[in-house]
Amino acid sequence: MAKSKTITKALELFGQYTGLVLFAIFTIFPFWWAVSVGLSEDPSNTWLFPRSFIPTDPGLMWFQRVFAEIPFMTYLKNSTLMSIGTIVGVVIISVLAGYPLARLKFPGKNLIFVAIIATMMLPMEVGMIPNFITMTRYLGLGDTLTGAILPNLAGAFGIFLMKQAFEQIPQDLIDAARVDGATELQILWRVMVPVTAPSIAALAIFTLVNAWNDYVWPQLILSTREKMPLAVGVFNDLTGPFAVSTSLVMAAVVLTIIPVLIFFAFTQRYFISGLDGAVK
Amino acid sequence: MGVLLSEEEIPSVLSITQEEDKMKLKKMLVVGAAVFAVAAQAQAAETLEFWTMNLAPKFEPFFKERVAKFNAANKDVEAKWVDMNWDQIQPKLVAAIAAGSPPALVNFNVPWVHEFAAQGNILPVEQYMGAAKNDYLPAALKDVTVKGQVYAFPFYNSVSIIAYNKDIFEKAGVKAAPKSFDELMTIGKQIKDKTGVAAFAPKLSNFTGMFYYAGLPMIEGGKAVFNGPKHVAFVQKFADAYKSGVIPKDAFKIEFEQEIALYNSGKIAMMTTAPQALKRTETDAKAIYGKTGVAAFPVGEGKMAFGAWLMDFVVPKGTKNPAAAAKLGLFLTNDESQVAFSKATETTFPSTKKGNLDPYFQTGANSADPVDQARAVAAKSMDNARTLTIPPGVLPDEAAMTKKLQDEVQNAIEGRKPVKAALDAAVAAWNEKLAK
Amino acid sequence: MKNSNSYTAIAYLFLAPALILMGIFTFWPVAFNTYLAFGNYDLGSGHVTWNNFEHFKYLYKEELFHHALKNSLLYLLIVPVIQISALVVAKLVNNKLPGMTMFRAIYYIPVIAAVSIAAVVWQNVYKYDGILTWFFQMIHVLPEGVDGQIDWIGNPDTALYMVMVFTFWKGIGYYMVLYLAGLQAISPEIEEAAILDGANAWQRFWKITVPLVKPTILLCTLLSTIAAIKSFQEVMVLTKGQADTYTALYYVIDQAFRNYNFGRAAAAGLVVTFFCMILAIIQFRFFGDKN
Repeated sequence: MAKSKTITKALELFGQYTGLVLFAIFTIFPFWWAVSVGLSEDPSNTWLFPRSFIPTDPGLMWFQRVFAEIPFMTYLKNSTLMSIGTIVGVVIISVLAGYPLARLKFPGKNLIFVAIIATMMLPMEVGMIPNFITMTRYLGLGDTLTGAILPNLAGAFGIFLMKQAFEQIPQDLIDAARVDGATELQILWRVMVPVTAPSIAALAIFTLVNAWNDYVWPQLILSTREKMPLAVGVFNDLTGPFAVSTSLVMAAVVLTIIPVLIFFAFTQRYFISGLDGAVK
Repeated sequence: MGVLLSEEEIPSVLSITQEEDKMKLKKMLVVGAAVFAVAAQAQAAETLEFWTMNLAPKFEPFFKERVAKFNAANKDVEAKWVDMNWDQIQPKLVAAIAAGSPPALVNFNVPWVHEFAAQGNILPVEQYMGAAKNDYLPAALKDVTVKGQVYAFPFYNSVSIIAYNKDIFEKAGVKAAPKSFDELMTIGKQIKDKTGVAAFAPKLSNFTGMFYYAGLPMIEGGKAVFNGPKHVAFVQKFADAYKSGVIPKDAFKIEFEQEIALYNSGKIAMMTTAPQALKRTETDAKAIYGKTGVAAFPVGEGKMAFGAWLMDFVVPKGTKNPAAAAKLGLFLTNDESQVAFSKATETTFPSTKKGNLDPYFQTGANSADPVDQARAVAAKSMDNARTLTIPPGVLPDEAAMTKKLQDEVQNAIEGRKPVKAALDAAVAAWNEKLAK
Repeated sequence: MKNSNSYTAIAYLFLAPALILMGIFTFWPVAFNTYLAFGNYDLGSGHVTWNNFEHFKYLYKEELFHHALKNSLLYLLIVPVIQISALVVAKLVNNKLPGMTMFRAIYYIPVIAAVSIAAVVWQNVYKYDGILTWFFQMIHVLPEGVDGQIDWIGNPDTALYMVMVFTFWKGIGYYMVLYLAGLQAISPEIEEAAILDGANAWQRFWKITVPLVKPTILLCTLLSTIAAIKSFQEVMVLTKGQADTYTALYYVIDQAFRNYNFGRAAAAGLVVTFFCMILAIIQFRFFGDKN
């Protein structure tokens, strides 16, 4: 009896890992290819599949060329600044706005919520020109990093995400804090924020990815090359009719992805279940 | 320069203050206004921003040198170079025009010149050209002439050449590169039959250009006419080539990058594209580069070189100082600039008469290096170099109409519809839109 | 306890930063675009002239737009597939077994990768002699040689579904992260109790996990529905709208940045939004709380 249970458990575990590995292959293979192409000093096998999944003449030549031929570190610095600014802004604004929408009663609540949700459904691509005019003509923020991140700070997604997260918290926690005489800001900061850490981490990661990969708006608002983020700089410099090589682009892309993966590795621990202090 | 505010316009709150305070404030306003005006004027005259596409960082030395020289000769203005990706030029310019702050010059291709000229969003520049107009190649000027007005300063140009894989040619028993379009097709068949490799990947994603290359009109007397017997026969050639595998199965998705990838991995025998593609082969596929031969792309019935793609500079409407912008435009496209730029790219050509006669372009004629050869071969085609595009303002809904044409041509070539029926359907759809 | 008035003040104070920024950068462009949809817009001068619903009349008759709208609605098929898969994947990696950090990171790579670069690889997956054909020929699902070669994104019968597979690949990690965050609300004791009651994994998934992450499911399906209706980037980079993959938002972008007809683009955008709204209302009814 006990033995068969162990076997069942082992089989279950084996099945789980097999599934995870197969799915991992499905998600990782394009990145694998990019790494392999970046590492191939001889690019002649780039387009021969499946051969190109293994580097030819492995070496770091293309990675070195990325640093030598484009101002990669400048772009990296700009991307980092923009991403940090965006994450901090988005998290603060979304937490502040999500709380009253989830837990307070006030007139106009439903209207505001519906209006915020509705903005997700509009194709914002056509809103770029009005925003460009506002930014350059009325705010004087053309060609600045501030101008590049400002429109991304308040978004329906973050507000909605935090609202959903706050709604899951038991009312007793809030009531207890209120009885203790805590102000709403204290409740938000001391009770709500710690409990919703997984959602805040998710929001931070999504925001990072969006800010990191944002291409159309920064390209529109920035014109000085020294202010460009990675997504814009790498594309401007390494693609087009006079492009040097696919290998160079792939090396640059791999270098661009790595910082985000590191950030993910650091924030993802908040997703592990049984986080102490959560809903107890 | 005047006083910014007159006595009466100074807010009434001031009337209760002391007389001398009032004077003081007035003084301050005058000074402030003067500073502001000077600053504004200085700024208006100061920067001449010009945009290029995908030329940084490769050609940074060229532009730095040109900008320095221009600024030294023109103390009252300052040229500033801004480079961007090609897909951002249009949105960025549209936004800048709408915001009332467009740059002085923008690097455009020919279809964009026609679109923007038809909408009145760029300025005619002929009045600023003066005698310099005669320096440009007539074909280049024709490319950027819209309704009798020249709208751009022609810059660099390129045409397609044929780069072929000598090994595959030998295996197929092909002795020489094709001299006519029909020969290209027959040689293609021979290559496919003998080696099993696809012969070439024509640029099917812009079939309008193909019709022009073949000298077949698309619109006559305000009506679409591309379903005549000649058109059908021309499209049929591609359909046959598709069916027999002379052109790859995914030919409609193949553009510049994909074609280079195919050629570099030995999956097509011929690359029919701009010479700069060879620079990529040189870097990415040394073995194939070593066995590459180069030939001119045959001139078609339309008497036009294939695949010409002229780049130019336009002056957007609403730019602050169009005369200074034009001055910069002329400077960036004069013989000296154009030859220097071509030498930097090694694979593009000037659009000026004298520029093209520079001995540099023919030095490679007998070289063993494919890029040098390609330069010599392509330079000879430059006189016939016209960028193939539909005359401006003809298509009321360009996006939808081009899509309809492409979809139907694709149906025909990929064998989902008889050629005649497909072209009939596209013509009917066009005429319906044109009639409105 | 405070009275409701003081909550009103606090609520608006908390909402102020969001509302001010959204007012400037979201509501204003939306309002401006709505205005554009009812007129002809001249870019240079900025003038808009009323045109008596001309754009909407045009769209009503425009076959291309109808077709694009149909494709966008067809794209909704991706929503249940991606949601159920993402929840299952989240469940699988939501434990403390070794290697889970790595799996989560790997599943998240597609989200990080720039669409245009990912597309370069996927184009080669879908090429008639590409990775997918090679794979199917290797396991003998497709015949060897030329006969078995399918141009996956060039053939109108398969193209749109293949683009959806790309969307699935790109998006699953995104929803996985959201579900992982949502799964935190379930305390391990509930599941342990169910195991003791003899519930199998399937029953536990449907009876415990799904009901408890309902708010997250609402969020995710809503996001995924909006993304599906607004799908355009993946089409742009993979097929450029060829082979019957043209979508409604593709039409909007084409009209705006190819024809420079911002009025018609705005009108088409409003139609797309209208469909989104209807679907959103249905979802709120279905997954939302009673209040």
